[in-house]
Amino acid sequence: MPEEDMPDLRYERVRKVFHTRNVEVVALNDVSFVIFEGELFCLLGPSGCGKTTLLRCTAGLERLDGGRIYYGDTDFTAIPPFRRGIGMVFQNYALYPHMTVYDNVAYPLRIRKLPRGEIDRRVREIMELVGLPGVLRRNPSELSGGQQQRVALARALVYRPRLLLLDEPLANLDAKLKVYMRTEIRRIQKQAKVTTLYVTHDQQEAMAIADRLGVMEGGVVRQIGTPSEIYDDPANEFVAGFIGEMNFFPARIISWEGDKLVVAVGAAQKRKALRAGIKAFGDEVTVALRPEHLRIFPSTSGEGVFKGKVRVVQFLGKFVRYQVAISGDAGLVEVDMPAAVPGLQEGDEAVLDFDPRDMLVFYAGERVA
Amino acid sequence: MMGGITPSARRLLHKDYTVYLVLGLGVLFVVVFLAYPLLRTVLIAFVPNGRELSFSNMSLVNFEKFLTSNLYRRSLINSFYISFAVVGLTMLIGVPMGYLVARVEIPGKHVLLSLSVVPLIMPAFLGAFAWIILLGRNGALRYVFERVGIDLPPIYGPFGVILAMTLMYYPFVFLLSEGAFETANPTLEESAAVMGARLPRILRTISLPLIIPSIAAGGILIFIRAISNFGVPAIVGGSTYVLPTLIYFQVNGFWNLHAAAAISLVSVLITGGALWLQRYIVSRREYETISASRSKLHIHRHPVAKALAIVFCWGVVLVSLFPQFTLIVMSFFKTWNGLWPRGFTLSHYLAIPKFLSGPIKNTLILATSSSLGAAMIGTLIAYVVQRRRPPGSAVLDYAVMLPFILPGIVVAVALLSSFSSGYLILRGTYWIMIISFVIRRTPYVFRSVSAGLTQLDPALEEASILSGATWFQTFRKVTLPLIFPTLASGTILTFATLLTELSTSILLYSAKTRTLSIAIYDSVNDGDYGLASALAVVLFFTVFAVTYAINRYTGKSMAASFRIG
Repeated sequence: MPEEDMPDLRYERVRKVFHTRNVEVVALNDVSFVIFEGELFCLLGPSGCGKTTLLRCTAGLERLDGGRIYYGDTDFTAIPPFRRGIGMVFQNYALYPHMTVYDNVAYPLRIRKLPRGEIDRRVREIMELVGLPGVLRRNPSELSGGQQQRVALARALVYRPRLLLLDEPLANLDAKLKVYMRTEIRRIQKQAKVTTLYVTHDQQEAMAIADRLGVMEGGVVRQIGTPSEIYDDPANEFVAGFIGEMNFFPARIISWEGDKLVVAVGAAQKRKALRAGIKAFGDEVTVALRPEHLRIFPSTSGEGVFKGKVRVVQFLGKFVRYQVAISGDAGLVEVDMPAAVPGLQEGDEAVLDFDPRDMLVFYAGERVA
Repeated sequence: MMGGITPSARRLLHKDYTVYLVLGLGVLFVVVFLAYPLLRTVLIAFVPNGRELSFSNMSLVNFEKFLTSNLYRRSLINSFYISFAVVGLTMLIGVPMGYLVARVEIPGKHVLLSLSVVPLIMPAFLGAFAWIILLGRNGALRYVFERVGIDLPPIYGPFGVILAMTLMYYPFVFLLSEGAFETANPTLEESAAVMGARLPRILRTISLPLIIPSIAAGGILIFIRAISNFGVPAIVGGSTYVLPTLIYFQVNGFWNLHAAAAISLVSVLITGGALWLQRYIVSRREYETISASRSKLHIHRHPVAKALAIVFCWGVVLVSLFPQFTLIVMSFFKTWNGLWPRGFTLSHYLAIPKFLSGPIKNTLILATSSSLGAAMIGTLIAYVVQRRRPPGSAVLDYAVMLPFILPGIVVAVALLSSFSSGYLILRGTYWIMIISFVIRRTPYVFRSVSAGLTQLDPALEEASILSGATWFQTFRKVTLPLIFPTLASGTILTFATLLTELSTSILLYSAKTRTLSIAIYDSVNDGDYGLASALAVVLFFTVFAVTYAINRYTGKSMAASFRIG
């Protein structure tokens, strides 16, 4: 087994219930998965999905109501947080306002009673790594948001923790800095070779930064995979809709042809290979297609799967987006074409088509083909 | 894969129990020196004096006195009558004054605001004492009134008590309503004016109703202070007893702790009920009168309005400063009978060194150690209640805040009834005084530290814990430095109030632990007004200096730190 595939952090049926005024909220419902050594793992989900709770349980800041968390061979569950050896970056950075940058970063080392010279060497080394060597004598309040972010990272990494936790670290930065810092965080993480759990609600951020990611909803991990797996091969309708843009169409099953499924969608019948292990399901299914997987033509150039009227044409740089109202459907279908389609303007009649291999079929929310 | 627990893993499992130890100590203190004495007080209230504390001896004899004894009945009635009169008069003075200062152009407004808090810094019994000098049988003011044909009631009795308390407590109402009128949303009044309402109507239908909830809440706090006050009725009450002086009478005159306990219980039920009412009103306060708009309040500039406002506001402030002025003058003279004081002397001040080794030293030792004790216990309990929320923390919260509604003399009765005999005899020691001060002042520190902690992001402490610090290291290096400003100002303010403490120490002091307040109280009772005044001036200026320093340190104005509500 290659080293980066060694399980480092293992969640086994982790359960957490919050009680607020006689109402029980299940924040984590038997969550089980594994994070590998040296990996940058993103937990992604809408707010309230339980991702921050899982992070805080990992840190030991919340007690589990069931299940266990293992770090390597060690059962983390009963170890108090100050002995877990975890580095954490908080959403608002949590820099100590009464200490200089140097003292902030040196704090964990002083707690560990390292010799002065060693502390000094390590603080300078880590500040070099996070790319902020010149501000040691300043107060945190004198730094910009991005700089505070780097100090927080330095403080979390300076004692070489076995695990780094990041809680929405970019939430307080402006859009441009966000994009820059996520590259920086990944560079620093890889250089420090620290297994990292990164929580965010921003799917672009997660896709850009993660080695693998877990999509959470309602206290459950709905899918785990690399960014491309999650994007190209969503396991259920929630993930399909949550990650990237997706058009959903109602469809009906016509027949089975061996391991192939024939569905009636729009005015056409399309075939797609069934997923293994799918036994039986009803007639009504949902077909999902990414905007870039749909093609649009003027209605004069032939028949398609859907007919509709172009409502909006947006030139978005690398592609052109068409928003099309198709008959019998209230919502607008989004179609991305690499270049403008000649002779197709707002108000024109158009037809849509797609390659059945790009089609995703869901039954009762779960992927079947 | 899982393996057994290795030795290093076992070491990892060692939890940090310091926080439980600290919590345990705090709880122990509260249980031994607050819960137990109070419980004992409640129990002995139901047992006749001289009987063993046992279930078979329980009866309502001590409470029946409120029906049978004239003294008890009158004390209860006096307490209510005086407190209601004080609330009513402070409202009558404070609310109009608040409106005038907020809405009329008055020269020297800031000076006026600063001077108005001076009576609050003055210990209550010193104010009462000064009024005796001015309005006693041969008082200068009485002389003036008699000359113009006004016959004032005697200073000893309800008149003196109500006068001293009113002029001492009115700043609370004044500052509260001044703030409310100043921050009220001007558009509400403007819209009424646009609809055709004249000033009296606007006042009656808009301005006043808007601030009534906060004024009412402030009024109840004054009621609680007035009915719990010992110093004023003890000095000028004469034969007019109120509940606190009746308690004192029972303990000091007859050593009847059982009767004192019963009176205390009645007194606490009254203040507790009043506080409940106050909380209820505050929680129902539904008007958002703070304005976010840029619109300016209408400031009256009419000459007649200005003249009226100047005479009224400056008049009240100057009259309320009579006591300070009187004490300073009196401290330099042998006698003050009739209009002018006679016989200039420095002998009163020259006598002060005699007090250095006794009362002054005691006062400093007791105030210092007690404020440090209150700071420590208040901080630790606030931390545990705010951050750890262990089971039962709500009970702890209430227990710590309980002395807030306990009149000082009741705390003294509770401690005397528990530590005068038995395993732990503390009567007459420094310890019983320190404990009583700590118990009484912990709520103040607890409240200010709790407020400081809610402002402090828990992530700061979590970051420290995760980077390997134990609870104690985190508390010492992160939490404490960050809440220190709040803690320091709370502690020093506590120190200032303890310098003048009278109502608890009056029952707990012994020859060895006599304080400066007690010495002044005794000098007044001995008729040695000059010496009492000199000591009072020293005490007052010390307290003033400390309060002023702490306000400079926190950057607040004197007036701001005394706003309540």
